[in-house]
Amino acid sequence: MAKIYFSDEHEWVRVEDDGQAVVGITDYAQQQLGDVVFVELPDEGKDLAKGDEAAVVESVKAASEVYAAVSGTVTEANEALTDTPNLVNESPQGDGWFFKMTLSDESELEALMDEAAYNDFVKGLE
Amino acid sequence: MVKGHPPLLLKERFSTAAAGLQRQEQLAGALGPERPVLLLAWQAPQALILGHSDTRLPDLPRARSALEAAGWPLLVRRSGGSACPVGPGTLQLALARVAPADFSMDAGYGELAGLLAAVGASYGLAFEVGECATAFCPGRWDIALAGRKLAGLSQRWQQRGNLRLVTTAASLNVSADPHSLAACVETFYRHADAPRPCSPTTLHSLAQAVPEHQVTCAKFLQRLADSLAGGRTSLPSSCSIADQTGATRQEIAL
Repeated sequence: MAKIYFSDEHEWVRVEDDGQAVVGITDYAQQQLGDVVFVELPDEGKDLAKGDEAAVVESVKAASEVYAAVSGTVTEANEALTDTPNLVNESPQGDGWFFKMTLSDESELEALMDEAAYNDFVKGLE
Repeated sequence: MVKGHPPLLLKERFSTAAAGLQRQEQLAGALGPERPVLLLAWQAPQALILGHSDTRLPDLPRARSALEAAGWPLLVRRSGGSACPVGPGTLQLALARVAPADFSMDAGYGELAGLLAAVGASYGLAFEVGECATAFCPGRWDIALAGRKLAGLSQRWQQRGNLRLVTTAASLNVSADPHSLAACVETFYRHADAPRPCSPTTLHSLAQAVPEHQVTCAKFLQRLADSLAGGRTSLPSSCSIADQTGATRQEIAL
């Protein structure tokens, strides 16, 4: 069963049964950004180390760089976001995913939060 | 503002807007524990600065040709928003700071809006915050007088190591002709096959608002420096933003 992790930078990483990790930004992040109008995604095959700039997301009034929460190699980018960036607003943890990757160090997941811990983290920001 | 760290004001003039924009986008790189806040004010010859979303318009090459032929080179910023003309008579401000974990986008916008409001108050003006939907590059943190846009704000978030960095930028019309700015933006979108009307009546300038002061960018910057030196720049707790429709506005009272 897929397991989902969260970073304090408001990204989520969902590890699927086949070991692939799907990455996106959280509902809190998309609410902070407002209407997303542009997403720049990493190329397939790109190697990302934890903390590397992986993507850029722009809304009507702000831009934020998205950093890799874990290390790995990009296997697929969500091309639907090129023409329909507002999928990030409509379904941040569904159709608004950013990219998929193979993990190079699964132990990095241990530094991330589970959903309950992330929800508490967000409550602390409000 | 970061307690105990008033922003260091850097005033710079560039021979091209591209150089100014590059300086602005690298500003956060100079932040650190010893320098947690920087404020850059810059001026440059005219250019039209796009948001990334503008680069995907249907006929961008035609728009680029038309604007460049009219003396408006196109640039792309990394802080969101849409097309915004800059040039003589406009002042670009960028406030870069280290952001604590609980520091929000609105807090960043509020800080820069507060700085601008402090200077506006010195002219006897009460700036409004809220979207000017029919002006160029509309956003929730537009700054206006009598509903006419005077400045637009945008923001970029970065991370360096464990530091979260935010740069909030403003483009302020000090003395530029609103007709020229509106015509530039309207021409761009028309040639890009994505027409967006932009009436000069939706835009304002400080020079128009207080003609008796004959405001220039240099004079505005002097008042900004005085305001920073006098500690009159903290954001009042009463400041809030307009709702998403821009239907309400609230004055920033200092």
